[in-house]
Amino acid sequence: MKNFGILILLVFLANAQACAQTKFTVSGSIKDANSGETLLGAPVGVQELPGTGVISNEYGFYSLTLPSGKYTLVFKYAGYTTQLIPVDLTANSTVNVNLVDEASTLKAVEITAEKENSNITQSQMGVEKLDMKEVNKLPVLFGEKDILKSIQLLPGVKSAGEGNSGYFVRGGSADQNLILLDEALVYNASHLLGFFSTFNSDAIKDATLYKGSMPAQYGGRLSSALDIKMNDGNAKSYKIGGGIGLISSRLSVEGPIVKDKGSFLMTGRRTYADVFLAASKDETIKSSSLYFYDFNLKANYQLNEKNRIFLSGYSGRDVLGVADAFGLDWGNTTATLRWNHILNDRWFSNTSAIFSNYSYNIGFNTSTIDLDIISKIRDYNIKQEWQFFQSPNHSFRFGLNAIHHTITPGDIEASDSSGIDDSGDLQRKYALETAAYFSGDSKLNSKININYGFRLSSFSALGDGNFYNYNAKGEVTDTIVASQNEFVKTYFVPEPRISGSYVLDESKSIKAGYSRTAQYLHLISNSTSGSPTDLWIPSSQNVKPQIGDQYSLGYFQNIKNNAFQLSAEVYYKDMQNQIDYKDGANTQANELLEGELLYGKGRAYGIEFLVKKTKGQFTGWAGYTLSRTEKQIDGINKGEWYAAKQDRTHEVTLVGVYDVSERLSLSAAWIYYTGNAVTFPSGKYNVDGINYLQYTERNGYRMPAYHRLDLSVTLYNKKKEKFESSWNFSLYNAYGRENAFTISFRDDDDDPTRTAAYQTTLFKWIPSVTYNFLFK
Amino acid sequence: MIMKSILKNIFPILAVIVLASCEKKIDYDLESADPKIVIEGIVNDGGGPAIVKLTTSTPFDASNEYPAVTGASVVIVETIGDVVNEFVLNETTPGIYESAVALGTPGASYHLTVTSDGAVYEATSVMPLRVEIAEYNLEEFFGDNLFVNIGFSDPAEYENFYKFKFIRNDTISESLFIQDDVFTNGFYNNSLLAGQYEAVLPGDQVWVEMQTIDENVYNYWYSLSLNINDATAAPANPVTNLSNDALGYFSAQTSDIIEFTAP
Repeated sequence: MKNFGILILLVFLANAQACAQTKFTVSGSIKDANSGETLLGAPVGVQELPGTGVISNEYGFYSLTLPSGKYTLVFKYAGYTTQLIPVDLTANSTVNVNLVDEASTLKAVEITAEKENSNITQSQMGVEKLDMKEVNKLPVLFGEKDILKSIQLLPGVKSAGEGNSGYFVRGGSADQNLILLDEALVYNASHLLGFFSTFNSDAIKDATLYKGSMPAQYGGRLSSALDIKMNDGNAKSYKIGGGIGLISSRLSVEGPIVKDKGSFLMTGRRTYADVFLAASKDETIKSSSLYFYDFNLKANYQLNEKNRIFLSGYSGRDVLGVADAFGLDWGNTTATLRWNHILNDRWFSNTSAIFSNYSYNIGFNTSTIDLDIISKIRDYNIKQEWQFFQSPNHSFRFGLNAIHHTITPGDIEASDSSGIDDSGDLQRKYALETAAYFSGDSKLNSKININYGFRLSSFSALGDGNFYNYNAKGEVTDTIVASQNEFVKTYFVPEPRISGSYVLDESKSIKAGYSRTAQYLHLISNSTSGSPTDLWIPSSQNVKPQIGDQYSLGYFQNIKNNAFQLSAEVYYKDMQNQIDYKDGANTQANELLEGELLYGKGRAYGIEFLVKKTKGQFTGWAGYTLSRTEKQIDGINKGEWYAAKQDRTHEVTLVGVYDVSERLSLSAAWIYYTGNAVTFPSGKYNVDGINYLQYTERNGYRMPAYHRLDLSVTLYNKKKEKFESSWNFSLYNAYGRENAFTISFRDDDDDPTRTAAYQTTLFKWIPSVTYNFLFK
Repeated sequence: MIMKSILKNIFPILAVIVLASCEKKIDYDLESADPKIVIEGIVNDGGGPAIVKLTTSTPFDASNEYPAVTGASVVIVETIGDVVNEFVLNETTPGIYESAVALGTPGASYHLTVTSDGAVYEATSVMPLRVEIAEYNLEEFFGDNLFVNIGFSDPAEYENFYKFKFIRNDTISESLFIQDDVFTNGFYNNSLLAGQYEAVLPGDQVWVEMQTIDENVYNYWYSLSLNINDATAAPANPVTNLSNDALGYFSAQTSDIIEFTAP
């Protein structure tokens, strides 16, 4: 900590010295010439000063401060024609750039939109940027392209289960991932029991996953941050695009509000798997429903040169109903209002007001009972960030953030005939989460780049409500009665973050990082694959914030003129205040839930290897991860360390995309991983005439190893002036591997005097076809 | 609420609808834990003897015959107010121990002591006050399937816990129907015994026992129910009122039985 402070001081001193000359700033925005979409992360170089440059920020704004003189700015962004713009810097000036997409000419689309060797020089480690063009070519389940499925193909990221959009990052659990959609927190990122993610890829511009040391502007989750940004909408002309698939379809409309001043984008999706249910002969299945829909909306308007506002929103809902008897529906709604303000050539400000709501509703219906249970988690969030582009070598961010959480564990509504007391809603919980942060990106010299930051986060459990204290047995010892907005318990966690790269030469570097993260909301789940009804609970006087410390070290090398990127990263992660249930805990509608919890710690460590080919007609990557994730919780497994559910020793991913011609693209992905750690019985016994299973230790067994191959073919029809279209054919699990989804142990169907193990397989060959179109 | 039980019992049906998955028998090499004693002790108010059944657990791949624990000492002490009675249970058939007289009084406390092979296992259960079935009928649910609906009045003065045992054509149902009164205290309850195995067909012989059980026994059945149908990712032996790491439970409970032939 102490050294860290000195380091920051040194950086400032270095800056102060550099400021002594006469300097001017050129700034502006970088956009796509055809659509008017801002381009983020686009590099701006200076021809006369090799090695000097900046990249555009998340709103396409760049600022480059140089000694006065004549320069040629180089705008070279993957997939776009390079532009050279001469500037005579005798005063601060604005240069807005529109880059022309090269997509019309046949060329290999590169996997990342980064500068060719930026993977070597950038100080961030454990960061993966997803190119939507690439995502769209990968094979997919049910023909629905999906960024959450695509990131699971990256080393260090593991699928939470067959076809599941949940994922584990470096030994973290699924709820320890921060998922932001235009800055709004998405609590449940899955549709249809996880087979689809909530993100409609038509609406997505960019996604970046931080699995190592996340920058200080991200917080509130322990293991990773996934920052997803929506498209702004075409500012030049109207477009209608969409896709028609076997079980889902989508449509998007975008266009200018006022040409070159503002634009909008609307997308919608609906699955219709339930159409097939209606064809069933079984009455119960026939009268059931199963679908989801979602909408994305984004609009932006440039008020003037210095001010721009954005409005983005998402709403989606899943509906599952069985024979009018039982219904479950759940969904997220988010809204973000943002104001970009350019204070001057070097200062950029963004103010965001964000709303986020996740709710689920369980309905239950018999001739006498009519019951609904509604649960919610609702956030109001305000965020202010300033970015300061001091010089090509130093840029800084400062920010403030406050979130008010309201958690409604269960409001009960019942008809009079139900015989259910619906006055006893479960107590709502209120909390305030705040943070102040600072981070900097500095190029100390031609060899050393560092990214450093400090986040001070705090969390307060607020009244009104009853707060219970428990003894070791989980029995209530006393009750604190808090009045409205009373601060019952407040935590502060300082979160230092630092990562740096040491460039050995143009094509080799070593990087190291350390980061501390804190998580104040905890998902209490003990179901096999995660359920929409899993509970979020806030930290309280009993439940302490989870704290994670991650140390990582990596070696990066590019070969063959940056065509191949090689990397090896090791990490060690220490996690405090991990939560688990007591055996047999009653988790449903339990006011005294905190008395059913156990606390302990976790550790995760591993090594990740990645070889990526980014140039040529054939692109792709091969990744291998060797890792271990363990937990130690008093009261579980006799207090000894045990393998966490997400512990997987080996994981291999091979991904290849072959652009045969302008009209044809082929892709394949192969995945292999060690089975999850699971609890299986080690004996059986009989009670009340029924055979039950005897257990000895937590997660002492393994599921069988998982592997599968997915294939995909995309045919692009001849482009017309006003219309383009393509066909995508995918085959999920091409060689029909019967992967175990669950293994259950029960009475043998063939021999009632014995018991047997039964394996359930979800997907054995899932072919799909999708037709995508775009009217221009 | 009975809803919790129904949700759990119905989930497998949902899963089948949603996933249309395929299942096959596999070989999985499980370890064999050392055998443990399994105690199943019941005192009820039905006018019969207290019965305690002692067996041991077996390896998973063994047949479904569980070795009886013979030659154990089994004692139940009954406390009704200040009156304390001790009953020594006799082994009537191997592994089955019965009291010589009928016992079971609502409100009384029962303490069980089992001594076998030098190890002592103990448990206490208090018999709740009696709640009876007011009426029952067959009700359509889940399409046109018929299930048994049990109507009864929950006493407002006490916290109550219930368990329903369902037997159809001499087969005990594997679904566990348990219920507390957190949201139904003092109300008239309709408990629908609906699950994977309980749809009633014309001519079926139906036998239902409504038990009132104490909180510890409720917690035993509740935690046992979590292991069924893969409802939890971390199954464990249920929490029991028995000491010394024994499997099973000891319950002093009331019993009200209905029996009918489905029309």
